[in-house]
Amino acid sequence: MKPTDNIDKLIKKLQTKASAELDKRVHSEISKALAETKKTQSAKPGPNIRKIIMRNKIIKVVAVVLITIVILSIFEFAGSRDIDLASAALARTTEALKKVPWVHISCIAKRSDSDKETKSELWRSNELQISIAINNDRGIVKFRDGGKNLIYEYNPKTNEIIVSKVTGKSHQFPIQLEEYLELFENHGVKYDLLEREDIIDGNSVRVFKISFVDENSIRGERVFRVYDGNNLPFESYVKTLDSNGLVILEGRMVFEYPQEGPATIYDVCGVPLSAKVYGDDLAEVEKPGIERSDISESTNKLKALGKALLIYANDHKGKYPDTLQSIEGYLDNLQWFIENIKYLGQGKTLAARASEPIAYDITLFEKEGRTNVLHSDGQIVFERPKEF
Amino acid sequence: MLDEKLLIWKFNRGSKDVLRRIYEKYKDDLVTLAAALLNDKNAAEDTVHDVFVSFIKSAEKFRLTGSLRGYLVRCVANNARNRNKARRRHQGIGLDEAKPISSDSERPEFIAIFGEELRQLSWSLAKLPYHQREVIILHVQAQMKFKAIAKLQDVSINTIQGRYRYGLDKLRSLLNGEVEK
Repeated sequence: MKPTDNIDKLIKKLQTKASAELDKRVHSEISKALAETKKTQSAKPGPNIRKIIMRNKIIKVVAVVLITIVILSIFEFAGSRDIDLASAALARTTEALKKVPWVHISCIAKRSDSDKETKSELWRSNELQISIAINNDRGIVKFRDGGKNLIYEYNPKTNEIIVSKVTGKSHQFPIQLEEYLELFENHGVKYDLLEREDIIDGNSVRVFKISFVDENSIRGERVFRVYDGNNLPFESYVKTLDSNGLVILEGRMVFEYPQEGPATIYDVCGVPLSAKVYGDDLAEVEKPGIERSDISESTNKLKALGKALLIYANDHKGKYPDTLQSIEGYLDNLQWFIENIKYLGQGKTLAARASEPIAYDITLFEKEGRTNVLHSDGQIVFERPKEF
Repeated sequence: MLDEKLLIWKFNRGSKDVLRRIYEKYKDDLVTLAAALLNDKNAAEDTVHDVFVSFIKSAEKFRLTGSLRGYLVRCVANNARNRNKARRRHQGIGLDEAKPISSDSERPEFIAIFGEELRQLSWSLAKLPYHQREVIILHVQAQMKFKAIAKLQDVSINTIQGRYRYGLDKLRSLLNGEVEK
């Protein structure tokens, strides 16, 4: 094999290690910084977790710490009081959750019969009536569209989406305390609900604990921690024990509240547009939310427009045309583009930043709320062009 | 990936202990990247040191939202570019001048950095103009997308793709030339 046959592989082979000298230098800097922090810590306020969490736009952050019995035993509910579903604090939490645009929950759980942790995510938008459960380990996505009363289930193994009608209660994937209590009541599970106040990192929080026992003597605890300031939960712990007191399941959920979330199943990471969609009778059905043929047709049109604009700009000292009418002769069926494309290239040149939007498909945008956008580097991205 | 998210989460919560874990996790990748860009192991370690020192100092002032690895790679690339500019200025050579740092592929530093097996490659990379070398290393080694490199270098993606293509062509001819010797 010639060395040039696969330069990429060769370059990837370039590896060197940091010397002990560098380790020493950097660790010494970190030690200095740590010492500095300890000195000034008493004068400085602690990090405001509520602000940190609320500032997050798109949720990416997951906590990995598995809950152990020790952690749960920290919750000494001395001084706590019994409450019921009519509790004012509970009502405030329920109301606060209704007002946020999206709730995102990262869950990590471990079953006693498995060595592996299970990672999953839940999304909820009350406004859009969307509820999503994602099994991160298996890639399975359950997308519930309450408006259409449909559930879409994506399986990455088969690359198929199965569409079925919603049956039963609207809370398909319970996320909040009240919904769990409702479930318990519906299934005749006995439970106790306790509430107490606490201070965590300088923030006043309210801790709710549900203890339950089902008909098979399976016992469990679920703890919700809610910020007093915004009445929103920020984490939850769960532990289930069998009738002999052995732990069956332990887990933790981290709540966050992004401004945007996956509005269609294709917005969920890992669900490709190429997935075949079937009804529950296994007959092929329409793609959920968006018509793939519309997107691919629009992509082809924008590709043609991108080429025409490039050729025009090359003929005109690198400048894009002021209007689409100027590219007559460079592009077939120009009228379609004038009617369906929003052109943003006026005053721009070929030297524009790669990510600069040049044009987008208005028709697709009006239909789907998202659309194909042609960027200065010729790439076409399916996105929301509202920021333009 | 989850590990990185946890690191970012802890970092954003103000934990300074996490800095050690971040350093341990990425140090070798970052030194490799800087060494490939600068062809000088000492300068590469200085670059990584400088990046971490400013990262430590700024830990309280900013919040990470994207990829931690991507952020550190960009910092190393920027620092290496500045270092290279300074070196060229000091030597009175233009940034894009294709003059090799060394004309002798047998020189020990090329063996010392990446080993005998990759001597030819590191020597050939050193002969590329810096901008081309940077694009190739960032794209192939650091797995950065052309779009991200274009943003980093503040040029269009077409320029980046051009630099990548010309760089690879040159690298190919240098490697072939070396083999034929």
